[in-house]
Amino acid sequence: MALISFMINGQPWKGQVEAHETLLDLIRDKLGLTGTKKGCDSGECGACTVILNGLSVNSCIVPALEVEGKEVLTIEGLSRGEVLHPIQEAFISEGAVQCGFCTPGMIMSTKALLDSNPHPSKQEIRQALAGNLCRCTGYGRIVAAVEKAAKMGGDDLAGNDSREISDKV
Amino acid sequence: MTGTLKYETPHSLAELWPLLVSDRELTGFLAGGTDLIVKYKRKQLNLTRFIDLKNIESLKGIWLDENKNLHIGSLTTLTELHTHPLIQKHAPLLAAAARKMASVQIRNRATIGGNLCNAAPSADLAPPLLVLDAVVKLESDQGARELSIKSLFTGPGQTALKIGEVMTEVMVPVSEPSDKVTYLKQGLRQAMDIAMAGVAVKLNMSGNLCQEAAIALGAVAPTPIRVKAAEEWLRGQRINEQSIAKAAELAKIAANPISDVRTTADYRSELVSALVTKAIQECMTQV
Ligand SMILES: Cc1cc2nc3c(=O)[nH]c(=O)nc-3n(C[C@H](O)[C@H](O)[C@H](O)COP(=O)(O)OP(=O)(O)OC[C@H]3O[C@@H](n4cnc5c(N)ncnc54)[C@H](O)[C@@H]3O)c2cc1C
Ligand code: FES
Ligand code: FES
Repeated sequence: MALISFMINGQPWKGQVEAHETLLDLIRDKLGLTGTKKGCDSGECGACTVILNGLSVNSCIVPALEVEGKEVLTIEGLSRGEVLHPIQEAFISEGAVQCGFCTPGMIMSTKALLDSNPHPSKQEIRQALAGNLCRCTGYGRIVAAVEKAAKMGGDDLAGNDSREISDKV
Repeated sequence: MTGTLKYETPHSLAELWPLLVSDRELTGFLAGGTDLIVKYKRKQLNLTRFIDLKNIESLKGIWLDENKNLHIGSLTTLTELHTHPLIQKHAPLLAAAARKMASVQIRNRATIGGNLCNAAPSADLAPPLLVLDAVVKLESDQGARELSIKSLFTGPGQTALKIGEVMTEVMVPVSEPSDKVTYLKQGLRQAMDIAMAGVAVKLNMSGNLCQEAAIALGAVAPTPIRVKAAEEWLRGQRINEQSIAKAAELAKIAANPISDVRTTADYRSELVSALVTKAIQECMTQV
């Protein structure tokens, strides 16, 4: 048991964490952020993908204790209140979601991709999503959604955030 | 994960050594955790303590010394390996191999030290490092020693590391632009797959004559191996269909594959010969 503090979706969190606890269990069970999914629990499926200090990781194999002092972004941190992130909009409008279990992970991997490569090729998109498995849609619509998100300016690089920033929501 | 587990985070090797006076056998060094945490969760490891190495700055970084050796900190991630300008320039084979591994998420965590210390026969960085004649640096409270990568692997999951020893660095002689190098990996899918067989080749040519050859195989023997017979055969040969076929045959003989969940021993043997052929051919297309 140890006390850790870290930033989650821009908010500070402080609390007790066990040595055997994973980041995935911490964010789902202690923080109640259940958007991040547990699929394989062993690094294979990508359902648990979150962004840790700017890099996408499988939260099911990151010890919770390791995030002390770091920044974690989960699917819940993408929208601004009611205003969805362009990547989320693109997944909806392209119909890239069926059961939705893989979707939060797909979207976080997409965000990590677009923030480092705002205009990826199809091949680059496929490679970037190789660690995210979908059992429903087939990958065609997902790749199309990522292409659309890129066109919409779905990266969050400086000055290229297409969402309206509103203090009211 | 369950059970009582201790977790320590030393900030230097000096802070690490005193932690190792007790419970050394029950301690797991944690680098990226992509092997360790997965095995721990599957209850394949009997550990009471993780020591996270990631706060030890001296295990990080990539630099070139005056003798043209590339020094790669053991905590260097696969993402860093395939994107770092020094690796791309001086060890392109390593950059290319890292890119063929796992997924973005795993590559962001997995380290070169972890890949080697985990010592899977299929470890993708092993064949490239074998043909590059890499040397690893090992340290303990007793001091430091250097070991040729050829002597590192002693069996499946087994290395020459003594209990309490840490891998601090991987040293790689820089590749010359004239070196022809390639790493081919065959899995079931293109991405995210453990190799059924992996082949690294490095050739030094003078015209069409082979001056030096290095060939290493992964996933087809209890450890990653160099294929001396094929290397000796190629030395001094003209590279043509016949000499390549003979080298491929010698590699196949040297392999000692098993059947497992991924494929059969017979198929692995055939893969070795096909991949060695293809790898040499690919080297020859490099200008
Ligand atoms: C989904 C998935 C896909 C994968 N794909 C591939 C693949 O394509 N190719 C491949 O080769 N591997 C693959 N792996 C295996 C793994 O990711 C790699 O072997 C990785 O490089 C291990 O590094 P790590 O830093 O995560 O090691 P860890 O899990 O942290 O450690 C592995 C072992 O090495 C020891 N160790 C680590 N660092 C040191 C050190 N500096 N000194 C002494 N001991 C140390 C640890 O104690 C442990 O026993 C995959 C794993 C997963 C989960
Ligand atoms: S739940 Fe983490 S990768 Fe599948
Ligand atoms: S939508 Fe069901 S797993 Fe992808």
